[in-house]
Amino acid sequence: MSTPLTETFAERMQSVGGRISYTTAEGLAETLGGLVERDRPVLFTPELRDLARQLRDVGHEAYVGTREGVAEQTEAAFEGVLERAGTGVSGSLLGISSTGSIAVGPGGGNGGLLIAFPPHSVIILQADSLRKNLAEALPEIDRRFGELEGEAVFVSGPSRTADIEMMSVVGVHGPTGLDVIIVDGKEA
Amino acid sequence: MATTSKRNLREEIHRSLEDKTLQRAITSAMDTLFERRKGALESIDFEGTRREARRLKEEALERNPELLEQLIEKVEGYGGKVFLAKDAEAARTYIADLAVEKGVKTVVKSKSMVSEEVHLNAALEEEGIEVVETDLGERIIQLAHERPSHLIVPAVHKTKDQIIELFSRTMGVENPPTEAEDLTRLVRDDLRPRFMKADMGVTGANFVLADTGTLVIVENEGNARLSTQLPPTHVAITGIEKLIPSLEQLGAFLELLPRSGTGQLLTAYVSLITGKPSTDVIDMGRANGGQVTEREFHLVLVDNGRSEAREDPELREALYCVRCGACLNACAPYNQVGGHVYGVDPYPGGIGCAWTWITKGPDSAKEINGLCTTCSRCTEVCPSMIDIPWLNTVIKQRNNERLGMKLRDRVFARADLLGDVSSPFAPVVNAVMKTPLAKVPMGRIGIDRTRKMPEYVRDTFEDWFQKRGQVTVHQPRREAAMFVDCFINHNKPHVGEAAVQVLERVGVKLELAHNECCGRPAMSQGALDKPRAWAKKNIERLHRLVQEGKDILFIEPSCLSSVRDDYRRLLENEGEGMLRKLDDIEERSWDVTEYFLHLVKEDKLDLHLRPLAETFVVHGHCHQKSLGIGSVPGEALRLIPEADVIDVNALCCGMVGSFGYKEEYSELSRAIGQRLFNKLNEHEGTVVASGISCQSQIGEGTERDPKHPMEILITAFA
Repeated sequence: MSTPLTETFAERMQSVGGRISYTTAEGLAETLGGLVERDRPVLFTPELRDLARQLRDVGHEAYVGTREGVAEQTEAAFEGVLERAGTGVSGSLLGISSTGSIAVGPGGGNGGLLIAFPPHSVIILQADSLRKNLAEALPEIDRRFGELEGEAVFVSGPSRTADIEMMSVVGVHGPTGLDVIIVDGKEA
Repeated sequence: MATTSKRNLREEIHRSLEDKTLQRAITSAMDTLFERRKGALESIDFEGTRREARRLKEEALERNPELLEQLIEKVEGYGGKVFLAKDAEAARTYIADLAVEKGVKTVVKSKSMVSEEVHLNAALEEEGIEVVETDLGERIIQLAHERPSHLIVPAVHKTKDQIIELFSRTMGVENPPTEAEDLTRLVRDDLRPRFMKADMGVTGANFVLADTGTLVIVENEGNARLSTQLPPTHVAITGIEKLIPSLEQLGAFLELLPRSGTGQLLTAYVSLITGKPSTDVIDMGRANGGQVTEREFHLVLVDNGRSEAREDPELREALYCVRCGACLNACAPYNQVGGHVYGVDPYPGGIGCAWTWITKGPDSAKEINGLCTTCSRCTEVCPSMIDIPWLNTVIKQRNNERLGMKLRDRVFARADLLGDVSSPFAPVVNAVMKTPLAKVPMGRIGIDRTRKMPEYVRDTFEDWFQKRGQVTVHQPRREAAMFVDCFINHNKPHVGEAAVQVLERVGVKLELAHNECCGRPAMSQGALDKPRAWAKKNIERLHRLVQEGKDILFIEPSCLSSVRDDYRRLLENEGEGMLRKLDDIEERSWDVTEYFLHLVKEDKLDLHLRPLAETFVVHGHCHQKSLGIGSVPGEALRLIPEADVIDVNALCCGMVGSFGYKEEYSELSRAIGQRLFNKLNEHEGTVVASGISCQSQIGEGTERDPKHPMEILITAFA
């Protein structure tokens, strides 16, 4: 783990409207719980099944964000839950310090949707997965491209536009808010 | 869209210049984009990265047929369908037929210039299908029934007030909000349900990876994500030139595209998409939702002239474009009139002219061709190092061949001849040029009669140099030959004289290069045969001088730019030997001010310059900037004790050789100049400009008397 990498990442991500929280593996559920709305569903990519359970245990309406994942917990249709969802929570492949970006994988097919459809997106980043720049990150994605089935999204901040008189507006079709939780990272 | 006639183009330019709202919208947006780009590039090695990107693009285009084959196999292998559309009609028909066949009611689209190129929306709407542009800028344009006026900011010509009025008129909102944030929210809320009911999503692709069949989509709003994930059918439409071999090549482009386009380090989302989403179809209330159970992915690869351009050694250059729009933000004419004057179908600006030729044919590209002044500001910023001015020069030449060359342009092409003929009769010629005897025919052949023509001198710079005989430079530290510029020779010899005197003071033994015209005036008119012949002669002559150990000095930056940048293209087919000579010449070619500064620094000269407690307001020549020596005049003047030197940060002066003299562009030329004049006039003092045509434009527009840096420096030596 390299502190300068984390610092640069955090600074760049914040400069485009992303929010940063730092926590440990043990504190993750609690940190996440503090970031999400209590009265709206929270959808998780399948690899975060345990985290979804932990949030459910403390009273959140939390699901694995696939048709099967929702069906395991409720009679409600997946589409309905997705439409009501306040937050999509996703894991990540790696972070890129120099651009303040995070690469997100297919997340059971719906990963790309969970980071874009709900009004709030949370992405969990392992501090030791931070890479210096695109030149370091891309070959790693390339190596894992088969396993990822050719799906990855680089996320750099919440959705935004400047189409009206070049004024920056955060929150267009994607989320208005993006929280990045850095796990085991040292607070900058 | 029909091509505009000359008269109409002039009127359209006039209308744009008169439209104060448009002026305000474009100016502020262009300034913002230009500054953001500059900031974003600080964190990378721009020159190194763009050289790499250029190399990768060249390689990829070279391998295009093979990559296409590989891509098609991959996409079909994972169950996608590929359609290779030979032209625009084939592309739009394929997608419209597909939509009809699948019973599509609503299509959501994320931004795609290729879909604009093939007029996809009209084809879908003809089938009764609702087409919803979801990029905010594109949505604004769609609601206004207009065409995008910029490659990445389609509604850049609209002000917020106009957008508020548009939304209130078209979205049934009585009192629309007034803040950009709330207006954006309004569109989001309006489009969300349409995303959910859409049966088909159409996107473009910025790059396509051939080895995995992966689309790379660069976006900010999240609409491309939703367009690819929500509807059961995803159609991606893109040009065949967007193929690159693999993810390995993507890095350089990702470093450059967002920085060059919006000035971001990376856009909010860069999606790598391979095939259809692996999840079940999500049904949020589509009209035919119950019937659709399987996802489909179609990739429409549009040729539409690209293969032909690929085989064209000169137009091929245009295919390296990544559509970042940086060239537009740097373009003085675009900055002044915006995109619509170009006829945008859909590509504006200098690069748009080449793309219009490729995709719509020569006739469509004819009129907008003249809007490129070939000032080269775009080449400084292009992440693919596309020589846009050269593309426009070639197109001009081809149009001259197809349609004949205007008499006026023939006249402008022969600055050398005009000088040779006029100088001996200078007083008579100068007097006549001010009378109706000259003004009437000038007007008749399309020269703006209100322009003051350059005055000729009887004693040329060459005469002066030869008359003064042998000049002894004590212990010369360098030997150099002065490239004689047609205008300095015949119109402004005192500039040349000042340069000679300054350089001799710092120990340069000088001679004249006895060169032919550099060819710039002719090349600007799209006449390339003469410049090619001159270039060959000049190379032989200059190479001999270089072999004798002499440096070659240029007073006019445009001449230097011809030799450094254009000769290589002009002589591409003249064999390796010629190009190697050119390499040798380039290595020893200098702008005079650059050379002076170099000697002072390199040899640590103590100049003992006389203090000049004056203000110098410096305008940078476009070609000086494109040669990477834009800061040289200011730096040289700062060597003078007590001099207060102000570098004015403006676009082009607007004259650019003969551009400002042409009747259809003179109003535009003056408008471009006005922005510079305003900045110059903020400061008292002496205006300094290295270009002869810059000087005449500034002289006319400010009634001040601009000087070449050498003219100032020589006074400090006295």
